[in-house]
Amino acid sequence: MLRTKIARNDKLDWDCFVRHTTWRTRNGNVLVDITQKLVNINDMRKYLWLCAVVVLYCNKLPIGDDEMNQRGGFEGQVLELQTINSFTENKKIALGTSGNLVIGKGDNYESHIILKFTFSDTSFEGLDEIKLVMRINSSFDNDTVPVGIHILTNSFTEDEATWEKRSNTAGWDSAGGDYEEQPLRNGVIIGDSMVVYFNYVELNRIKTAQGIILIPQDSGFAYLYSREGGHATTFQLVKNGEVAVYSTTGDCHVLNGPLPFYVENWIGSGIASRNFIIFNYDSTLADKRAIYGELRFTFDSFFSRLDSVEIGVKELNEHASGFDTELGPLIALKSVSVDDTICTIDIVHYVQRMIDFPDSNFGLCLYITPENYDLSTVKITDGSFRLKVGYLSPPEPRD
Amino acid sequence: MITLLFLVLTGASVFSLGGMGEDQSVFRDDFVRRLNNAQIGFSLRPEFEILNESTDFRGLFWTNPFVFNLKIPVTSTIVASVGNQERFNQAFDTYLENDQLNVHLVSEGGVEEIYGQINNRIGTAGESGIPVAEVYFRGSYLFGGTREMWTYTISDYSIADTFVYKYLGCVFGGGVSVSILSCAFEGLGFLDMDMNNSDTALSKDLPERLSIGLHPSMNEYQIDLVYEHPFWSDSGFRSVNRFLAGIHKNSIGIAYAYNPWYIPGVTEHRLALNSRYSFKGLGFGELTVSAAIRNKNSIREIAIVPELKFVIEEIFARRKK
Repeated sequence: MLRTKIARNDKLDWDCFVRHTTWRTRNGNVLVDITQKLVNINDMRKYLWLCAVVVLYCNKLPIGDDEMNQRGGFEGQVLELQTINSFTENKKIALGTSGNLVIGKGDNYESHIILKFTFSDTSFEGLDEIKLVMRINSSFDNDTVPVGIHILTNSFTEDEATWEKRSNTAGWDSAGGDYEEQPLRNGVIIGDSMVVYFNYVELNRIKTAQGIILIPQDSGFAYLYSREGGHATTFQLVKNGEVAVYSTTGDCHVLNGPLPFYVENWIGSGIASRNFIIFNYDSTLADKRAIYGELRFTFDSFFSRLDSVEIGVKELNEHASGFDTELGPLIALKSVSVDDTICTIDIVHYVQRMIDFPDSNFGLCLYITPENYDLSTVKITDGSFRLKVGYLSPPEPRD
Repeated sequence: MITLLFLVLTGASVFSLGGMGEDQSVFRDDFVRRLNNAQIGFSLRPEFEILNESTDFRGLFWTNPFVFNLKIPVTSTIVASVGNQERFNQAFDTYLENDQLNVHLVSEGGVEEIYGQINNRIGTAGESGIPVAEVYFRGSYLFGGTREMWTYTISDYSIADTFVYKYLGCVFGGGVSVSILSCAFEGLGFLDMDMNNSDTALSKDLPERLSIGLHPSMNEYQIDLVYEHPFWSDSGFRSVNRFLAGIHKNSIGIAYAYNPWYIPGVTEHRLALNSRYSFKGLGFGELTVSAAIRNKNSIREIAIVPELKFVIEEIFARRKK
């Protein structure tokens, strides 16, 4: 069998859209010489009409705009509305429905976690392990927080407890929760969970107590899952390799922190702060169609363990009369990074409502949503609110 | 040629933005003339539009829903008909740019018509079977709606408004043809319009319309000449003179129509070619390709409409057998 080494040589000639391929033996003899057309010009021409149709039928040229003008004079206008007033109302809301349990202290904030367990009546003898397991919510920037676990000496209502109150009708003897001074155990919140071991005596005390309370022993904040957050805190009782799990029957955190002056502009969650702003209605806007209402303001400072917070905007259904002023539906929502310095939100619905019902211009409310999820405070630079409105005269109906 | 006189203009014209839209009922021929079999007709009219202003061109494509009509010879002289068609077309798609403002307007819909008609033919002339005279009366129920979507954009902000119009009305018509002369009149028409977000309802009188036609035959050629004049009571619209001239031989025909619109400033010239194909024992099909050019100031609109019509004849009678 004759074995001959051959080499291939391609030469592209783009002037003529052809490729010459030559196969040669080692000694240079031409074995095969092929000329291929890369593109057939005639084939290309066949599709030119298709290209023309695509170009013709896909463009958005404003041909015939004179026709549209017979339905109105369409001219975009921009106007800036002046702020009449802005102020902040706040409330230490109950945090029993939050998806998180916040513990920590620092920057004048302090937060305690209160837990309630209901154990079965069976006696727990011969247990190998008794441990409290709490899972950390890693979507927050958590610190390592040493905590003391104390016996709670007064009952609480999960959905109603705040820093000052243990229910809607009763307050704590000491703000922040009533508990035994000496901790039952100490633990450290670090990594992805906190596990604290107990003995029989301690377990029996917990069984008969109103609950337990976790008090931060150093500065820093940590976020743990609540039972509403999907990973409830549990007591795990291990006996002969079998684990009996008891989840919390009530959990919440109570929070204390700095409050704004009335005339300052804060929005906050945890300690809920709502900022109310009223803009002056300009009669130039009468019978106009608002295209956008760009609300712009700058941030003075952030306190948050999240990378970003969501700012919601609602209209007021009545004159502002405090934190619980009746609000309308959500009209805008904006996620802002804690590194942002400027925020712009389109509140065209508020502007259009102001145009349609100028006598009902009660203002709008900025807040962090949801208000009970975490502990965040955003301070807005005083006097930084700007509302720029783009509008036009609406088209006239067909006559 | 009946088909050419049925030169129903379809479209998505940018000029439909004004008034009640594009009048689809001009040069309408309601005489049945020679008809011995029941007919069911279906038509489809896609429309290709090219808008032109200065050196800018923009294409649009539109297609109307099926048009249906049924004609039944009740007796040897009386023909009853029912059917639908679009009366006013208010469909269009256009853009406006004004400094920082962009407006995109898309409109769909229009005023539809369902009609019932009775034709009475008197006598026949020779072997052709064409009646010596014919009288008809037509009553039409008008209904429909239009949805206009206005999208305004400034900078990165965009918002849309939707206007919805609903229409209800009626119109009546009648005509007489004697030998080669035909005369038709339409009147007593009105259209009530309701608009969303508006408490007021508008009622418009539709124009009376007079059509006079001459339909002579010369050798193998059939000639159609039609003059039409509407009488608008609304001073915002024009009462214009319209003309149509057509000729056909056997199954091929050609027609030209001069159709200035009732909307001031809009003129239209249309040329149509028609061919007819018989399907033995079933009916016939027609292909009408028309090209129209419309002008208003510097805007030019070219509309190309390939109309497909399929007519089934006498299907009920054959099923009975």
